[in-house]
Amino acid sequence: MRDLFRRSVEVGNRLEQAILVSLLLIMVGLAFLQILLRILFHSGIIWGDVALRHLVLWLGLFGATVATKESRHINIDILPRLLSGKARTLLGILINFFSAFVCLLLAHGGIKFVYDEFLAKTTTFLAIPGWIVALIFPLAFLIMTMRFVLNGLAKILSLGEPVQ
Amino acid sequence: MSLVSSLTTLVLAVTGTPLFVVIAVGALLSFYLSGIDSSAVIIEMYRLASTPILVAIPLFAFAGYVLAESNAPKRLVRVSQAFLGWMPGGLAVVVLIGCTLFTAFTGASGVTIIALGGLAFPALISEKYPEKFSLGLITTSGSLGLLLPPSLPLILYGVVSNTNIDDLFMAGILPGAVLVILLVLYSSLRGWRAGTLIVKVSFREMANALLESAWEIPLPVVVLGGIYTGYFAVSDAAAITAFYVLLVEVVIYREVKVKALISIIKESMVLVGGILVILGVALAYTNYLIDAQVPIKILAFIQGHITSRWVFLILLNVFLLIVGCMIDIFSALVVVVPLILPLAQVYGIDPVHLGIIFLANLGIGYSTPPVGMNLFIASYRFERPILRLYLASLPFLAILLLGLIIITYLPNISLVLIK
Repeated sequence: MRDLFRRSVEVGNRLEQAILVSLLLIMVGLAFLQILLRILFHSGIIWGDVALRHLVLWLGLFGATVATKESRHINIDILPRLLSGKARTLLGILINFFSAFVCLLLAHGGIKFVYDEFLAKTTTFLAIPGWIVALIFPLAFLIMTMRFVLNGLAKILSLGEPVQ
Repeated sequence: MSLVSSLTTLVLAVTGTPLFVVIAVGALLSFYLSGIDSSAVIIEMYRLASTPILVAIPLFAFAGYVLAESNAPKRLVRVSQAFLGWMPGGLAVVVLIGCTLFTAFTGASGVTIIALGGLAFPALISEKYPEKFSLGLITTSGSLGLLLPPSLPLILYGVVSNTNIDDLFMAGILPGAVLVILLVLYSSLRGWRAGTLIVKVSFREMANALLESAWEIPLPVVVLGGIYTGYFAVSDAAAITAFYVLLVEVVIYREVKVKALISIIKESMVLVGGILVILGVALAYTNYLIDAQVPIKILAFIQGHITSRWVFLILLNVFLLIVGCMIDIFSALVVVVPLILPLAQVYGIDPVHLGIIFLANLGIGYSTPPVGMNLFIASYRFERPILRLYLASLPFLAILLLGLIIITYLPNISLVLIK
């Protein structure tokens, strides 16, 4: 059971990395192609610019999920610097669970947003329905919720280990 | 009501909670208290997908990380050495100019210290520059290029403040030059006094150095030329840079392996994701603050206490130096600019000039003790105690502060090129 869990987390991480790399390479290619078409033929792909802007959103949110995995979100660490040992770990546990809770609220807002887009039948580039593009919000924030919980649990487990 | 949410966010911020979570709490809380649905936060975040200029941020960040991973820093130092090595304190000047250009192109100044500092530090020591001087030089010059195009923070300021990016790119040139020239003068003097080696002018070395960098030299020329002539927009410049850098470093020089590319993409997108998710929630929160007329209330309070524009500027400088050493530059811009901008306009400060003041201040804050980020990066990279870096950076900070005063109180240095 534990093994299965670990394996699926690993598969998820790889999938996430593959998506991140593909999105960026598509962005570089598409952005360059647009300029090339404009300079050479004074034309361009009609949906290109809108697609690029949505790629920013997707890249940004997937970048944020990776930052969560590696605990590398931008923060102001004045209090942690003043603490040491167990107190610092305890603070870390609190922060992770609190962040998980806030991300859950954001995911909830995201689900409502997707539902509203679905009802409004909006479309974006290439006639892709707006709610599909918006799925990134609940998806990214649910991944972040899960990761904050996992980071918090890992810190709880580390409490039992001897301090180095 | 807005006071409750502002205080909560302030207290939360210093506990080390991720800033995006802190700002999201502020936004969710204030929306909840005013009876607005939480999906409104997401609606505001969705604006990330309707701002064309933002496309430039992942593209430039990616290109910067690829450059840092290749041997481009080495070639940059060689070219500068060939052309500037003859000056007194030549190598110090080379390091200054190299770091400035590199930071302008990579944006995140920590990268400069790691990529260029590793080359520059042993070279400075072997040419008999004092260690303390060398450490201070590298630490502080890690954030010099922020004022010069196409720096990411400059673009981000444009996005957040709704200021024309082309104007900002023009406005940054002279103030950037002021800071660089002041440091060049100081370094030349110190190099001359320390009796460091002076490299003879060699046209052959110039030619060889240029030849070695033949593929990279067109990059700044095309990008800056294109932007300044108005031939293409900033996001176009970013697209060209990303594509060209990928082509040159991976396919032509083959210094960045395809496998390494995966981790480069991941690293650069962690930076971009960290910035964009903060920008996203901040769009919601600052919009609420503006609706709740918070800037107007702050304004009323401040106007009651400060009548002179000069006093306002002095307080702004002090405030931003503190902000700059506590928060990284991207989140500082996203969070603080919307609150200060309306104030500054009342005191007759041009938004473009305000942007330059912000970046100059925040850049200096990066190397300001006790918690400036550059100091920690340099301490880690060069394995020196942090206290030693505090002392080493002091003379440089004094000079940069002088530059900051010039930039802040002579607005025309920033504005003359756009008038």
